[in-house]
Amino acid sequence: MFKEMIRQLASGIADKEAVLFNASVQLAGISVEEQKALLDVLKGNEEQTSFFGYGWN
Amino acid sequence: MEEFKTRIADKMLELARGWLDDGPLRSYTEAFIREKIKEPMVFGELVIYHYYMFRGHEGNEVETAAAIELAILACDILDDLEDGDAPSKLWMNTPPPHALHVATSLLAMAPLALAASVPDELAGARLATMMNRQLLHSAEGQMLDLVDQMKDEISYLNMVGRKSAPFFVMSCMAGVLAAGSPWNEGVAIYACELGIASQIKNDVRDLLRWDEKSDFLRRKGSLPMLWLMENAGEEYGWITDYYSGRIAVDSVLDKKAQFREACEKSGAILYASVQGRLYYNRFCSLLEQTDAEPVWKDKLLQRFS
Repeated sequence: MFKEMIRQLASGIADKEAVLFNASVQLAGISVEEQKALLDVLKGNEEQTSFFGYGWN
Repeated sequence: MEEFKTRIADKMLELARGWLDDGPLRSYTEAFIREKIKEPMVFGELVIYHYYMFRGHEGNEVETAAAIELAILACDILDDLEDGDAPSKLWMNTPPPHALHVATSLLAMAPLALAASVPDELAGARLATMMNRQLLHSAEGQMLDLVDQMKDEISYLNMVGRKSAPFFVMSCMAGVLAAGSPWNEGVAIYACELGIASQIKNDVRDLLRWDEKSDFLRRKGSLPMLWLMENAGEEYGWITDYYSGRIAVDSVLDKKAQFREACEKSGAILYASVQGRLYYNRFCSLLEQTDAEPVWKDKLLQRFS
């Protein structure tokens, strides 16, 4: 389910904005840990705060 | 932390002068240290953070951090010699037997310097044993990487956990032990999580670069590469063909943009980033539960956020 969501997001089948604003519905079937990590990365990229969502050197 | 970085760099040079007689080995070692200190000193910084998190007060934390960085330098040199992918580094422009000899000498010097960085002999012996054990763990992981038998995600993450995570455990724990605290299993666990997160981040970086360190051009296994192989699709069949050795590098060198597109469309970048974030989030959560000085825990989090 988690990997399928990644595939859908990357190919544009799933909408990143919708995932960000309606996470609980969109991410049903994905563990809480995975949901948080996915949202952190999408949010990080959205805000351009760090390219990978956990950017440091 | 910038002030500490300068002090660690100076101490590394001081240690080399203290442990080695004047001669070619010392000259090479000092030159390699000067090359190394141009880069960030993440591992030395981890020592400092943990020393203060665990209420160290003897005041020799910079020497402990410098000893850790000497071991990291040795491993960097060996890794570059083994991979042959860092042509601009000073040690790659030095006769290989000389560079190899400096690296092995540093591996002998680092535990001695680490043990001498604390006043108590028994505490010093514990530090040196801890360092050697973690370096040995990392050597096992490095060997797995060299034989490149990572066929799937589980074996790849196992390799990363063995190769990269021990450097983080070694650095965090050096700070803990130098502060006078015993081995802390909680720290060891979150250091592993941080180490794996860090390696996955490097994987994403090395996937997207297009030079001698590109994992794709070098046909090197990594988490995003494994995903890409499975998910690139027929449109990008040339990626699998090249990676499997069926076509030569000349056939793909002009396909940088298409490769980047495949990485994005397949989800390789997103997948690896989320996996890295999973490990990073576990690190944050475990750090939060650790009984240590809150001010220094916050500083550590800020540094790695």
